[in-house]
Amino acid sequence: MDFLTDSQIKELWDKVLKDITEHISSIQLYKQDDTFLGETCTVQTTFEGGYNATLFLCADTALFTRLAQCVLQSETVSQQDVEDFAKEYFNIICGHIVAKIFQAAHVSSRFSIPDFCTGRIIPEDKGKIRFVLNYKSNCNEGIQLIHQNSALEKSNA
Amino acid sequence: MAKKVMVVDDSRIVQLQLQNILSDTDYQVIACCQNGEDALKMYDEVKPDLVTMDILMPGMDGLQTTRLLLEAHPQARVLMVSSLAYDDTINEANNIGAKGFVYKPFDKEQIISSMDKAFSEA
Repeated sequence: MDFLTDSQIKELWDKVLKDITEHISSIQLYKQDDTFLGETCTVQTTFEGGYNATLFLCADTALFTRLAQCVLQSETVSQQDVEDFAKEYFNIICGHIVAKIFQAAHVSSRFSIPDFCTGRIIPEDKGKIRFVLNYKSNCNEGIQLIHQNSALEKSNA
Repeated sequence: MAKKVMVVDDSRIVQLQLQNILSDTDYQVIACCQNGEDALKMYDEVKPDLVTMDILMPGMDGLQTTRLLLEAHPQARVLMVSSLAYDDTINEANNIGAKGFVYKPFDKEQIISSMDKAFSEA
């Protein structure tokens, strides 16, 4: 993936993650050196095409719950609502990433429909991790994005 | 009388969001489908005035679904609602015959104004 530098890709993810979160909820995310998470869940997707990567977005369940409450405009949200929201939230973020990569480098990419699981999923092969972004919300909820180079990209490198 | 809207989106959250947003407007969600195949089957049954169409869905994507839907029902009004908002996708949606493109995440004003526009251009 030589069409964008590491720093540009990182900046792209940082901006999209913060902008989308603020747009849907007015919740601001603040960058941290490290994030200590409590009860968590993770959404994951894989990009293919020009941009090859696997992304893990792990967050305090409380943050996803608060975001889901904002989007659904309801104080009461079920566990299923939180799961469905987390997948849609990541889906939107990934869509914007694809659009921005296309605008910046005229490279087409696609991504798989995000998978959800409870708990914190950490990539098995830590050697493939390209970068990690850590944030805290204004209510001290943590969220972490792990960017892993895909097998395809590794073999092309 | 409210205009009938069919929502095609694999996300239950988007379906709920649109039902909430449109509840006190001139539009009413009368059917929701989670994929393109179901949308093609259900269109004849519910005969909506407007269809909102996601792009990335399991199975047939929203662009292909729109293509097939408009081949079978050239009068159908389809509004794309997706986060895949870049030139290639938007141009393809326009070429197929979609009536507009709403970027996710959307708000009430954007949705209503795009729906109104889809009807005013008809």
